[in-house]
Amino acid sequence: MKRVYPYLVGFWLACLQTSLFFVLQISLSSAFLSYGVLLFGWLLGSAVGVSLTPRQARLWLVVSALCPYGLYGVLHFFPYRLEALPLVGLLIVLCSIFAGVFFQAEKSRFEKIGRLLFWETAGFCSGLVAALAVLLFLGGLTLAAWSPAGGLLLLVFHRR
Amino acid sequence: MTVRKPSLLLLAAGFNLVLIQLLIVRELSITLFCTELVVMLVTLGYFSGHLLGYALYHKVSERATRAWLIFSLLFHLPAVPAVRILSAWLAEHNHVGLARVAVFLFCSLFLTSFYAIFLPRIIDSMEDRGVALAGAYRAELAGGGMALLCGAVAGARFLEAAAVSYLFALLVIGWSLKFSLRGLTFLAVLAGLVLARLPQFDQYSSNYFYNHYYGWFEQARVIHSEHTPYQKIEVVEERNGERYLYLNGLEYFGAGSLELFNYYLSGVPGRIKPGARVLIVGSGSMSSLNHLAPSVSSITTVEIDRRVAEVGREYFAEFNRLEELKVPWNLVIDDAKHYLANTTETYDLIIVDIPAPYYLQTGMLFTREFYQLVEDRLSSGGLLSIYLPEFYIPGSEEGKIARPILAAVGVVFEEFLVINADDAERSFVLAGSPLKFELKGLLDAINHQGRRKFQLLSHGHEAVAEDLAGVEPASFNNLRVVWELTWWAARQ
Repeated sequence: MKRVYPYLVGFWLACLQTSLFFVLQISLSSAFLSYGVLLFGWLLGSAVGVSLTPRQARLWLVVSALCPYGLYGVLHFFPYRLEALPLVGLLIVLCSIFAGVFFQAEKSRFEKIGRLLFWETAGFCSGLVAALAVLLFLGGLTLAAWSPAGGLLLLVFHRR
Repeated sequence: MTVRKPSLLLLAAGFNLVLIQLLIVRELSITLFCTELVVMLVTLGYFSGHLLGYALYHKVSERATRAWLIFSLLFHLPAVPAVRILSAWLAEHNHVGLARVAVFLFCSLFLTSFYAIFLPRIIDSMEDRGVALAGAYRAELAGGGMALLCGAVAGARFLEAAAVSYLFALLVIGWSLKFSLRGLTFLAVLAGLVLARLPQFDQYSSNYFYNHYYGWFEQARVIHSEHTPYQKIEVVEERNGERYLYLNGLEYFGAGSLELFNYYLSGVPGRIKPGARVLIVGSGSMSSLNHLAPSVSSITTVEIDRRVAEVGREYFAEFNRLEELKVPWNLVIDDAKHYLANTTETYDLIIVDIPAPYYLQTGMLFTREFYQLVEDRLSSGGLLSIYLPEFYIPGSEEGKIARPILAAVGVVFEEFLVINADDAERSFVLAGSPLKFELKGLLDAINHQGRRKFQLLSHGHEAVAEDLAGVEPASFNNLRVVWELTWWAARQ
């Protein structure tokens, strides 16, 4: 179980990132700006998250799972409007805070931090493949609709 | 492991990791015929390198780390042109599958694993792992952010800027690993040698790649090469002076069949819509302008990548004849979806001249949703002109790519007509709600430069209706055409 949880988190984060990128491309713009906002927002959110107290990890997991729907809502009401970018960026930062908090919360379970990084990255690789497969065979909207909420399943595996 | 300024080391490692992701993943993907599938494969290689680093970091001695640094300094950057040559050689000898495995292993073992050893090492070496993790992780992320900024600021000189800064970051890591002054001088000399020889090696390998990977070039040379935020743009010139435009290693324009491509895609609809206000989505060589100019009243080109338009203007003047253009022409740098959704202009003819759906990004422009955006901006009686990435023959076993695209057109527009042009080796589609032109006018437009061999298929044709019945249109939720095309490319 010690290894399964970081693996699943990595898997989910890859699906979440792919979903966000897909939705930004179809509803905002495929220009580099979308990619840049997603990447910068994610880096910033992770950096903030790793500085927070690990006791709030569950809260941030729920925030990460729900925020994408807020982002979809913004893009639904303001499709292809770059004016929505600041709000979109803020929501991406909120989505990614868990990616940082998670490491703080899990570090004590691993004698060597490399093990934690290893399993999270292994999950991330699998998640990238799975997300692409879902996108190509079941559809991008299907991926975007289900993958954020899928994070709530992680609550089952999360231990205080 | 004791290091000087751990945060600086991690900043440099994060910087180089993102540079690898931005540039080298793209370069390696190009050597394998860059499709969504190949990008995924190389990306997996990139992260597998991290896995290797995380698995081995506590077993690598300080001495070995220093040796690894020297190795990285010497071989990381030259490895890209070397892989290009290797990949072309393997492809020439029908070992493309082997080439993919080799590149995958290369990425995993040599590129990213070196940088992945530092983060866990530094955190493990600190007493308070919570504080160490926060600081170390933030430093690595900040390095990644700096590399992104470097990409945004460097513009057309990104490749050169990236090479210099990549080696500089390795020198910073060397300093942090406590190399002596003599050791650092040695590293700097090595970096200088790599930098001095890299441009020639890169040029040689690019020329080698095009002459050996693709079977149709002889003594061709790359006369322009640059990375933009979207793609790698290359102009290849043959011995006889003919030029070809490659985007991410995929042919986008060339004299010959691709010139005929523009004839059918732009010239023909331009002739049946005299005086039209035209929008072209995608620029490339911009030779569409030359085909359209004699018959239309104004042209707007929307292109996501400014540099593609500028390179087309500079290197393909003989085809686009921009200097002689008599009609008003407007270039808009924007994403086509974003432009169509926000413009208030309407057009009599919209031409979609974009690369084939080898990636999700271009796949999205072959969908029902995109055609709806186009339809909303067409004037009454307006016309859409697109191409299909494969020949469309109703009832044939093939057509997994053409059918969903055609079905998507059929959902949005009342009528469409497929032109199967043998000489252009493609199918083209004209669509409208309804189509407002005479068949004779179309035949005259196709044959105005001499008799051509082609076949027309109308949406009402029994075989077409039967063939498309039950086909799920390409849409944002059905991008299987991308898979079909990349899988087709992988089998070639």
